[in-house]
Amino acid sequence: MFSAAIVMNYLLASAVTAFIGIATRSRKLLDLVAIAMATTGLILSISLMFNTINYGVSTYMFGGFRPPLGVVYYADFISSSLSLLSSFATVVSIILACISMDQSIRRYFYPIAFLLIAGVHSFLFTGDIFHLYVATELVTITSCALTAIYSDKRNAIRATLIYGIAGTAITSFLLLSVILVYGSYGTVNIADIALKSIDPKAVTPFSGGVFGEIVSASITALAMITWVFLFKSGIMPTHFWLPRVYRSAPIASLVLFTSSSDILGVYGILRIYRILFSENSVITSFRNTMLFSLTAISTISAFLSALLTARQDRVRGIVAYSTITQLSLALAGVISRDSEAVAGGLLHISVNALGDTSILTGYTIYMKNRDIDNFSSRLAKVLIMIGFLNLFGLIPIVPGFWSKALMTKGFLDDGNIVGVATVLISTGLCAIGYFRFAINILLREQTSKFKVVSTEGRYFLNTTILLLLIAIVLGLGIGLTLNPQILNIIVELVSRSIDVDTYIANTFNMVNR
Amino acid sequence: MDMLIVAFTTTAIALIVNIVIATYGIFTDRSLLKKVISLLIFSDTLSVFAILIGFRIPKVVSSPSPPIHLDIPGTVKDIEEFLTRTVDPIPQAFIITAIVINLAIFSFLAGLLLQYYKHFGSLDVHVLEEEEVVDEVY
Amino acid sequence: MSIEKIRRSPLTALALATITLALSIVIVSRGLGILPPKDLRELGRTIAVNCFNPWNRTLTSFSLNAVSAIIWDYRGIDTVFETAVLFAGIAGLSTLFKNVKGLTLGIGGGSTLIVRKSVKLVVLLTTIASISIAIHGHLTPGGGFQGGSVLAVITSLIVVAYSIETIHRLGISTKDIMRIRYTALLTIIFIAVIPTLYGLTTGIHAYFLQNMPKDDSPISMPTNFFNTPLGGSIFFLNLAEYIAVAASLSLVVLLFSMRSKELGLED
Repeated sequence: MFSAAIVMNYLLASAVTAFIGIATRSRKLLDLVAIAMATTGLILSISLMFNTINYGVSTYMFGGFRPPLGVVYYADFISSSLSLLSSFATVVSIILACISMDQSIRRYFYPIAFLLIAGVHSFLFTGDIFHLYVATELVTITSCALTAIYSDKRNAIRATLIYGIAGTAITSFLLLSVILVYGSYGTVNIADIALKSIDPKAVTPFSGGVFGEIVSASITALAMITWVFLFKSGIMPTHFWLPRVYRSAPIASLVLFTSSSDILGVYGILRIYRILFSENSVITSFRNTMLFSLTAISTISAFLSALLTARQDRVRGIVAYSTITQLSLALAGVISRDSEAVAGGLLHISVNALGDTSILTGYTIYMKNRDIDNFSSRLAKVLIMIGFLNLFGLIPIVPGFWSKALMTKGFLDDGNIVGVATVLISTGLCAIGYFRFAINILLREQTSKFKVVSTEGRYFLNTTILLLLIAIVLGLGIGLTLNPQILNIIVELVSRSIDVDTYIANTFNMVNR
Repeated sequence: MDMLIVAFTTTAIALIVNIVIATYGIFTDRSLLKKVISLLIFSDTLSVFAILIGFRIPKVVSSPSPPIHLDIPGTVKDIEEFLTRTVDPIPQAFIITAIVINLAIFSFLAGLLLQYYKHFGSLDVHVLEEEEVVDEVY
Repeated sequence: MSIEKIRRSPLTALALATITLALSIVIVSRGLGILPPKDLRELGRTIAVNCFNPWNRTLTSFSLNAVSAIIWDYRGIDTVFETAVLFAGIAGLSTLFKNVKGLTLGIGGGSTLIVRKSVKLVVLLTTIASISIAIHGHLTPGGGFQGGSVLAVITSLIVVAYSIETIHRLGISTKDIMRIRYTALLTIIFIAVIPTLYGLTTGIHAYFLQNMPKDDSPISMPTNFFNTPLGGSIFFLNLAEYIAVAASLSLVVLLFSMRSKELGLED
């Protein structure tokens, strides 16, 4: 129920903000409606989170058709926590747009941003691979539009075209694999495919048995979908679009990208390898080969991008390459056999999103107030430091420490020494870039000695968003430090979510919650 | 082997070759316009491929029919008769969705191409990439 | 790496050959069944049985056209998202051309008299045909998207035969079209939530995008209009989609037929 309500809320928010933007001249009303709708989404996400923790899973059948006949939403702990992350990022991004964007741009920004979030949520919740394709296309086109929102910046246009053409081509391969899977399995429901990939003789209501010889089709589809999702997260061989986009997109869009659209690749790979084609499926040996090469890819990608992070000296470059590094690490965790490493990888996605959001928000407010020495500019400096410490993650009061600790522990349990080395070495390499930049900011003198209390009435918004982010990051970190057993609960919930039998049983005995 | 199977398999493989050629065009052509055209070829080939998968040669009647009832079915018999000749409706529904999506994407890409030409004066990917002196926070 | 290198690199050839080989193996090894199949896939068969089936009221959608039934009923959320993608494309396009200067209002003679007179006739016929395609989407081949794209042809016909100024003189601006488009999108979302809202007010459980009654929910959209099948919400959704698509495509045609000075592409 809540999962569908979240998506509908964001679709409605998009249409309403677009309508208000063209119908009235009042920008105050537009901003208020946007913030209100984003907050509603956040509240719904929190409710969904409680719902999934209480009942284990929250499912919804659109139109009342049972799977595999209709499209269903399946929200477990993993997808609802990522949904919470992206709903929170939407609120931050909308407030950031109020602070940093021109009034004339904002009325274009809000509808597209809400559509992006609707697509991201649909991607997280969907239990249907064709709907996955539709959601991916929505995410692709909206992130293109958000990059090109300042159409007079030539680099933005160039980045958007490169991303748009490559992204559409790659997503077409997703459609090709969906068609292959339908042709072979005769169904597009994820649980149905998962069941039939384990037991090809299974017969389910509405969709019957498999239609063709599933092994070759599954292998081809798995290879293509893996490639698609690697591209979506910008893991190293397919990363060419990510630094370009991060160098030219508006800051408010970047906050959305780093915490919603770019995490989808890693999440998708988790879903594909754990649920769709699980350990006992008919293509186990090919799946193991793919997992091995994915481990190699993520290791190399983490090293190379960490090296490149160390060389950056502007905030956008640092955030771009650091995102590639952290997502590669998260990928290495997610594809690991140990469920602690999986939980660590998922936590690391959130850590990266929170860290990037902190740095970008702090930097924006700092630069807007750099000529004035006031409370919010000093608070911004603090937030940038916390963001970097979080990404660095060797100090226990930030959540970054705990995600890396969890991953390292998982790798050690699994006997994966290369994984441990990757985490440590990439952390060290990235730290060079982080701290060079952070020290630059700290040492920079305020150019003006005046004490100005308010700037254009945005002082309130600035301080609110800064305090909110500091509270969230430090609160999460300190909470984890004081109660490390929360981590055990998270690992337990994650390992229940990635169990394929539970997934199949919950989908076929669906109740609406 | 049945001639029909040979013909259909050949067509399917020809479509795949078309897809691969389009991929080659997308990733190697210098002109952005030609990249977009390759993309169009790709998505249209995909549509034909899906329709081919949903096609069928029925056992009883000689030719298949679109998945639409010609008349309001009066009895269960009418529905059974409809089942003997209709083709698979699901790939068709997928493809109409994909076509609308591609339409949206291609109109957006066309607008981007116009803007690109305005800024760079050509549609070549390899324009001289100069570092823009920008305010980083916007 | 430059494009020339990618083009000649053996790696590219290898990658492309692998894709071809893998997909061909899928087909030759009957991964998709024997082409052409003699039977329907079971899921397609379920839908073909149930798209118009008064004897199974919890699974049918009372639509003679099975494709329309899938698009707006069985997989309705896909199509809502597809409309959202179209909306995003148009929103992105209007972002790119934020500083459209508006028409310079030249003379705009258009084509010869014969062409103009015949276009008038064709416009009338096309409008009627497009409406028919859209509102009969659940009965005959067609639907909202198909009808809408036929209607958008009219815009391009007028631009070619008359001039773009004629459209302006008819009192249609891009802003009006945008407003129509947003209203249509809101209508689609509204129709999707009607059963839920109704259920909330009456205390009965109902789903988003519900059309016909289900096992656990008795709420139903209208099935018949006098004695013509209406397909429940399919008819109304087709109508809203018709307006949305016609408005979006007309906007695209209008934008791309402006002069580059008017689009803000030249200074």
